[in-house]
Amino acid sequence: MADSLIKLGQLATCLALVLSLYALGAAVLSATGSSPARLRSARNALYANLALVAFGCATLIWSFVALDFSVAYVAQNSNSQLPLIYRLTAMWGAHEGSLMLWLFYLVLLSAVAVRAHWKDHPLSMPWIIATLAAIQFGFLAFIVFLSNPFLTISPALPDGQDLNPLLQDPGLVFHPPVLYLGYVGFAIPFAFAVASLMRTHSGAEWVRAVRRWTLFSWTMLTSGILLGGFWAYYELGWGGYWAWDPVENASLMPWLTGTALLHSMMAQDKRGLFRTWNVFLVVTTFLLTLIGTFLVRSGVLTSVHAFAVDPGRGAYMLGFLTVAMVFGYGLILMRSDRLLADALVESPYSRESAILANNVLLLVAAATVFLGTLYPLFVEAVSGERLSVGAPYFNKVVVPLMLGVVLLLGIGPSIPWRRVDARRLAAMFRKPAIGALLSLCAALAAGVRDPLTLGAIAAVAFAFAATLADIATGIAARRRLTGESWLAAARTVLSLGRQRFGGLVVHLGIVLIAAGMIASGLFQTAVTVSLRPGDSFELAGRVVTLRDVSDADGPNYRGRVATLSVSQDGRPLYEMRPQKRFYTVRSMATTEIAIRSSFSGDLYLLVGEETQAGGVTIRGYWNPLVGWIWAGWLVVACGALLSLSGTGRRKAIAASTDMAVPAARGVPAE
Amino acid sequence: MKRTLAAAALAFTVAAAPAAPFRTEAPEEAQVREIGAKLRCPVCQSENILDSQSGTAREMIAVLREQLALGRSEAEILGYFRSRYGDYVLLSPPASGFGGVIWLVPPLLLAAAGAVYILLVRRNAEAARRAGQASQPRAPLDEQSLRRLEL
Repeated sequence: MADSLIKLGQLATCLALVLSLYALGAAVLSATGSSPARLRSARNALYANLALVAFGCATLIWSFVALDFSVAYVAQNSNSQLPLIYRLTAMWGAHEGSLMLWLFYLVLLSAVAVRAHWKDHPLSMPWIIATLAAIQFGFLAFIVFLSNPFLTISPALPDGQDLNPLLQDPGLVFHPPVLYLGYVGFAIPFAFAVASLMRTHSGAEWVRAVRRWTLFSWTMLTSGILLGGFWAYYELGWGGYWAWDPVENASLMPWLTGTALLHSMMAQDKRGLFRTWNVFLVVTTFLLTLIGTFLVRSGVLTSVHAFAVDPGRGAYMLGFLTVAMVFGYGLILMRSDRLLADALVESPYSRESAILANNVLLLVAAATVFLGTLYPLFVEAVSGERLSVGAPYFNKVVVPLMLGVVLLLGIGPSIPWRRVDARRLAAMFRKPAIGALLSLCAALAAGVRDPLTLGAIAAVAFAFAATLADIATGIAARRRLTGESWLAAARTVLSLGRQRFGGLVVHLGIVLIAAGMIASGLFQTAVTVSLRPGDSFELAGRVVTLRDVSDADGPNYRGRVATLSVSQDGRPLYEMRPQKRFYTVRSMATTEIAIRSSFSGDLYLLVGEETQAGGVTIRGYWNPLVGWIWAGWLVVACGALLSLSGTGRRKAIAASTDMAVPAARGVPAE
Repeated sequence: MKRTLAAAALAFTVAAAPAAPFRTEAPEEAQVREIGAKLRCPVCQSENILDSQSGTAREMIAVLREQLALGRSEAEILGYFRSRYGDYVLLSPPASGFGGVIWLVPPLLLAAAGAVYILLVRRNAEAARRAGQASQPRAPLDEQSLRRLEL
């Protein structure tokens, strides 16, 4: 019975492959011939694919729940001792299943996007459907022919090989699904961009249509990256959350270009600027999400040789990537004459100029991460020499660029479009500049001398003050205009200017994250000591005493737990219990960190080896302000939600005030 | 700061009788962490020797401690590991040979992109000024109208 169910899942996926090809053909024919019935049929094929792929995923999840070890993927990634929650999430624990999740998001978002924009974009719709169907086809063919999670083995294994212990954690429940949603979301702006290029119709309409998609994907990508950092922080046990690992870099690259896109799209929407550039950014961001998937999933990162061992998958992904790249960039080149801007950057003192500078820094950062991640692979492939590019390099090169971005984050939103008088500009930023200067003095007084650290502190203080000042000025202006109370004014401003104020709130969150990263990255204190029960050590003003070390076995592991008590100024505060685990099925050791968070920082304890003399190695970290990163993420999410909830901004203003608003220039959406 | 900590520690030991032996880490541990973070574990996937649980990384840390005890400088120690394991062991690649590209490209890119930015803004500002002179000059909007439009 279970066996036939997984076969049905495979059949559904194969059917989806055929339908994606059909949708592609029908959509292209309807674009060239204009046949509404054919286009509807292509659309329905995409809807059907959602049902088919969802069914395929369901059969796979059911096989995990039912522990059907006749399915090879289930046997490799679960075990009868595995708790139910991890059986439900084990689907995306390894290669084949995570691609299935990718595919599910793609068919889901395709169906949602086609349904949502069906009426507003009738002329672009054939090309949007064709693009999405082509991407679906690419992934479906890969899954069906090269990376099939539905394969069965006969006879069934008596028990499975267990899920990778590192992935047996609540972090796995959230990190990959959110990150992938961010990745896949950028396929929708890509489809709109391709449609506008195919139609040689590259006004601001497509930008307006995809603004929300871009913001949604960006928010998911940001959340996925931070959730990954959070997971690494409490699961991997090196006291940090970001290691500049190639897998992490793979997700950072589309984030950098996506952030640039989010800003430069505004310049096209409001001022008709940067048309070619925006299309380039959309295509690049989408390609980088594919490269990210390729890097993580092809095994090329382990070694160029691992890639050569299983050349089928790697070669297919590389081929798929090449086709997408040639098509995307080729289309831009062919249409570049039609993509000229309607307007110019009039002055260096303008919003558009700040956006341009932000794009320059973000793109150089993205290129640096790209180079640092892929160049070692390139060198090894050509010369056989091996080279490492790791955290010390990226910290030195990328961090200063990002500090520039943080500084611009404070400046950009306050400057008006077109141009502003240089003297007014200086007056605008007097208060934030004073704030930055004061925090610089405070840092100097505290004994900080490193120029990069000082620059970081000043940049963050400036951006924080400028963003707050910007929000306050907006509310004050509204108050002057209507004479409302502060609270009422704040409410109206927040609800009417959702797009703008949502953006400012996001900026505030980013500043909090930057502050947390700078403090925890540059002011971490660490200590490694060997203790016997009764011994103590001191860390960041706290005294930590080892009480005892005892056994702590779980359902599928053997464990040892150290009990430590923490006190400050002679007052006992709390107990902490870091663990060491040995997962028997995979014979793999992991470490369970004990963390105690507070506003000022985290106390982070790890237990290491035990000596024969009854001692145990304890590693302790004091990570200042690390909680600000996770708090900042919440602020970012709130800001993004506020911005996403906004209706069209012109409509909202027209409805709420009796001010005559000049009608938007140009034609409605199509 | 140190003194208050010591006082706090003392207060604790007095309060929590029987007196607990107080451990501090060996003074060169800070240097072990600093240098260890720059060395890659040669048998792992992009981990430094501090974070790695592998035997090779443990041995390398032992060698690192030995060398520090001998009074070697950071550069000497990094050079020693490089001569034994090759450039691969340095997480920050050397600026010579293949590694040079990695250090050269970002500043060049930034300079090129910066030049494009300046050229674009300056040329456009010029064009806008000429266009502005040809037609009637437009008064910049006052603060209040700007704020209204921003809403």
